[in-house]
Amino acid sequence: MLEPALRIAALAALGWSLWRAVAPAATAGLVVVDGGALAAALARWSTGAAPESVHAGLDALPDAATRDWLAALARSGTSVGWSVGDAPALAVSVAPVPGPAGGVRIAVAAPASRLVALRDAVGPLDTVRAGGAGASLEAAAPVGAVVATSGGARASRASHDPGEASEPKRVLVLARAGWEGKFVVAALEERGWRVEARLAVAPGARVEQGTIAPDTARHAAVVVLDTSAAPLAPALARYARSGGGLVLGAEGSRLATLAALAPGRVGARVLPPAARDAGDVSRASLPYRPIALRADGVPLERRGDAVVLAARRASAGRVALVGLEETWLWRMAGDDGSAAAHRAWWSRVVAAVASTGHAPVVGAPEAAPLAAAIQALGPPRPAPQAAGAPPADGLPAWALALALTAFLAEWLLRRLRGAR
Amino acid sequence: MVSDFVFATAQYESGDWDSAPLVPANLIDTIARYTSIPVAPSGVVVPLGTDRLLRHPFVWLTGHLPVRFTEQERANVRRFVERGGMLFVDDHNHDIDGAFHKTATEEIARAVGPLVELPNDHALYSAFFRFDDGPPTTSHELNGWGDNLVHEHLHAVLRDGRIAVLYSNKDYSSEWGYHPDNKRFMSVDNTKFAVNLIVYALTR
Repeated sequence: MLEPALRIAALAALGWSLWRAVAPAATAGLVVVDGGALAAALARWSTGAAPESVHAGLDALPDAATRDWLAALARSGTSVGWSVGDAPALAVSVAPVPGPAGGVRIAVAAPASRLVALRDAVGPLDTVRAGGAGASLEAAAPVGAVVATSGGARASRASHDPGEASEPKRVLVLARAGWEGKFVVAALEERGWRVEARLAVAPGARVEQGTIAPDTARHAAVVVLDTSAAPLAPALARYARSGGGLVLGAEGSRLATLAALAPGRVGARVLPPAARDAGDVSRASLPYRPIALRADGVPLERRGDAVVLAARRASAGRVALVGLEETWLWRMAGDDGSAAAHRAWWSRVVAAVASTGHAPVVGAPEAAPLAAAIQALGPPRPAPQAAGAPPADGLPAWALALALTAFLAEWLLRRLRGAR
Repeated sequence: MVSDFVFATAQYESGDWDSAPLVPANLIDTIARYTSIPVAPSGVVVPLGTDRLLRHPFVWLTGHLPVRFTEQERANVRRFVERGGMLFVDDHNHDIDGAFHKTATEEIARAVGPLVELPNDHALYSAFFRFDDGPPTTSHELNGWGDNLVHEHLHAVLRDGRIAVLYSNKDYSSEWGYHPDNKRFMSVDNTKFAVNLIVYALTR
């Protein structure tokens, strides 16, 4: 009676080990497929029985159709896992540059030091190396989508069609008649901005150019240099909160209504030692009022430890605060490049807050394919044992020991009773 | 703080740049009287040949005698105009054949370009007060002094539509050369046109 039982136990242990060795993983409910076989497998699983569990081992991030197909498979009850080879977290954005020159700014997020190739429908645009904060470049007018590739990652973002661009918005400058107002207007106009202005000359007397009421549909930004804008302060606050861009001079930020929107508060005037020299005036030698930042204020320019240019978001709009004063002196009494530098600087300040009039593109998962894949499928995880391969640890030792022990015991029992 | 407007008188190597010393104070009084533009209580003298010129984007130049700019003065005036400054030159002789007129207009042409006639409906004439007939006449013109002409127009060098150099034969230097307290004896303030000059320079 014991001998047949031991024989059965030995054969069962051997059979189980053999089954473990040769039985495909599918029979355990997991199917592992590589990127090349995935499309056919998805089609097969969509028209027939789907496995309990699938792992897609990809060479590159899945495209939108594959990603959505895997997500649909997961929602139909199959456990879906995935992994990818060399596919860095890559994202690309394309946004119009606010300013008269137009063009777009292409910003790329990628791991530091990765090379990212950029192209549009016509051909390669450039190759950039990501720094700590990614990389960016400006392009005149990309055709079709801008595609960024790095390793197995590919991100794309539709560019704005310049043919559909609306008429450029204007910049409104509000100031007292004086050199600062005059030369801010001149700098912006010379840089190509269309400028409207109200320069106060006397009580009830103003020099006006264009439409003065701030309007997000008409003005990309409003520059408020001083308190002569007081009668418009409530309208300016509404304008900024509605999505307009506001640039406040140090004196302009003292208007109570606008102070609430400013990225900080200006302090006492500081006259750098260089400002007392009779030589060329530079931006570094301009008098300034240091800005004490609010919690959400972002410094844009400093003089030593002092912030002299800052910005913050105010509801839907942006507000910049300029701590530098008498910038016209830099243009008039600076070196040979100072007039151009003054123009470029003021244009940059305005562009930092200007609204472009283009609605942000929402729901563009191809712009950040790794993030989109994680959102749809969960985070990638290491590939499990491939289907059909022997277990990593070979045949189970305990089963072999059991089989061997059972055979030996059965043999000994037979020998003890004299049988062969 | 916004910097005050400072009335600047040009000092040049040749000629008599300081021939109308009462004008600055009188015009400073006028600016303060009619506008809210912050204005420094006293003017300054800026040598044309120094970088100080560039710190005063509106400069008044007058004289009776021949004007010959030095190379440095000429280069500075060119730089001043290119960067957005406005130079107002007034012939203190009120004489179209006078030495100042001939030499000053030559120097202006050499430094920044030829003068052209400024139309009498130019924005300058409505920048603050309205002067529908163009530049106001001066008592010296009406009295028949100098060239015995009433000059209908001012002349200018324009840059991008803006007056860079304004030239007058009307002798505003004599017209405005009195103590500001004496304005009370006038039925019409004859310095009002100066407000237009300053407001134009500060806003265009």
